[in-house]
Amino acid sequence: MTDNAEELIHVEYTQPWRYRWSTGKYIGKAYAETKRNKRLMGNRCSKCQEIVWPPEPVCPRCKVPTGEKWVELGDTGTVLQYTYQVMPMWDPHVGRARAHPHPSANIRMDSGCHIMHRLEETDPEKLKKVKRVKAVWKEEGRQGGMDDILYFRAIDG
Amino acid sequence: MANRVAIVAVAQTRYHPNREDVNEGELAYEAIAQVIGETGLDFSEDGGIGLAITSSDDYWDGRTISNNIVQAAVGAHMSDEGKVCEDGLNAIYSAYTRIVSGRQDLVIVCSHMKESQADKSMVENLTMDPMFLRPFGIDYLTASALQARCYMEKYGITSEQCAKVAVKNRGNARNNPFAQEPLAITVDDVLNSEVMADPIRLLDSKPVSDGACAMILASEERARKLTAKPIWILGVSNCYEAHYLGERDLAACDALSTAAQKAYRMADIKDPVREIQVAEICEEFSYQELLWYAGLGLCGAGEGGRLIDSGVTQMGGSLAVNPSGGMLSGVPNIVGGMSRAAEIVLQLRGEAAARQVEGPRIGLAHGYTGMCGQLQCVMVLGN
Repeated sequence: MTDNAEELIHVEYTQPWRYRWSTGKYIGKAYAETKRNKRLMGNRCSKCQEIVWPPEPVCPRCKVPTGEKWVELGDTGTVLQYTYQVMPMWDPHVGRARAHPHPSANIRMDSGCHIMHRLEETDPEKLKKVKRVKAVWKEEGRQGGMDDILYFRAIDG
Repeated sequence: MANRVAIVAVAQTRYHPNREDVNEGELAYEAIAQVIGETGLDFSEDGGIGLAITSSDDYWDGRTISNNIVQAAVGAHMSDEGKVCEDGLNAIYSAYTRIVSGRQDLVIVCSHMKESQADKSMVENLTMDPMFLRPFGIDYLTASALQARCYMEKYGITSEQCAKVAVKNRGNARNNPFAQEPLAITVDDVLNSEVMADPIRLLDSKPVSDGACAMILASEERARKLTAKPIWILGVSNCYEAHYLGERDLAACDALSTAAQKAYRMADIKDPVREIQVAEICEEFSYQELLWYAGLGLCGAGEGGRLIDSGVTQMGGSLAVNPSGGMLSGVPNIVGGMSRAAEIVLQLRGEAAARQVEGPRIGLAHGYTGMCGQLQCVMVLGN
């Protein structure tokens, strides 16, 4: 044993991991629709007729190919649950924690499926009253995907 | 008649917020050395342990093939080896199937984790699908807050009832020498702790934890020779549900119900509340214990609040849940389910010391993996 035996030496690793994921046929279609048309699209299962979201080639419930019956999810829905996070949350775009993100919510779209997204409102008291919401799309720089929607804004009715 | 499978030795490290004095292999070996020493077994081809199955997670460990670092410690060098990148209860399930099939008669399992090595929120975010969930920066805390709200609103579960779980489990932990965070707290302490993600507060959540658990499983013939107190795996099952939260009923935990019913059927359990005397279940957040009660068939849907109020699941109740203190008192993810099973083994052997439940014959171990309990595993054990 040397005199340094009790020194605790650590190895720091902070390299970003680089991946290049293919969206594939089904998610690719949904991404293309958000990017080009500011439109959320899901596919309807050929058997149970439910909307599969996120879109998939196989219905998770029926375990059969979903087919290509595409439907618009629309821009409006109802907040089922929300949370605002006080603890820092990981921001994958900048590779670090952020302290005050927009609140997360589980939203039932009027078309019937449920999506996860953010809410514009950040005041904890006002959040309690947020029920009906509408997607606010990015006007510039849409790249395909859920970040093409900035957040959901409270609306009347 | 299938081969019977027993757990013949168990060991855990003491759980700790930051074991920066050891790497994962050294941490795992602290538990492994105990089960090897206790049974006197080796890894020889002639009658030794023929297979090692570990559970760990590549993202948490920051390296693919996260079992590499424990290869030597678990005796896997030039031997049959497997890794389960899921909660450790699934590693026991995997070892069980190898023995039932007759392919192996002795298997060592080990689950190891150093949560202190990485940023919890980052790792959990990386487990999300990259197309639809990861971009939001959502982590298990956020997702669980949504689940908690969904469950509490649907059934009128109160924050006080959730807080009772934290008070019970952290209080029980005072009797557990392996526990990281035994605390004498009150419901008010929980309700006054800081909000992490509304409605989840600091004391509703488990702390960051490092630790390992190891076991040796044996065929009936080998088990009889190794110990006077073999603990039999009577039933086991797992069930997997949708990843995307919108696809699930967050207040229902359907995967857990399915896994539990299959495990009970296999173990010939018809009335779990009457037939099971002790349960150890994984609850990263306090509301989960109440929700999982119903999934495990210990009460009806939405009756978890009433069950905790009744005192049945406290120490001294007819079905004590988490006498060890559960995960809330500090057990790492991935290790959770295996350490639950280890605690049930101690209970059924009558070796749980100050946290011993009186004379249990049947015990239940539960573990889950992933956001809001996506993969659920249930095991019924008997002495």
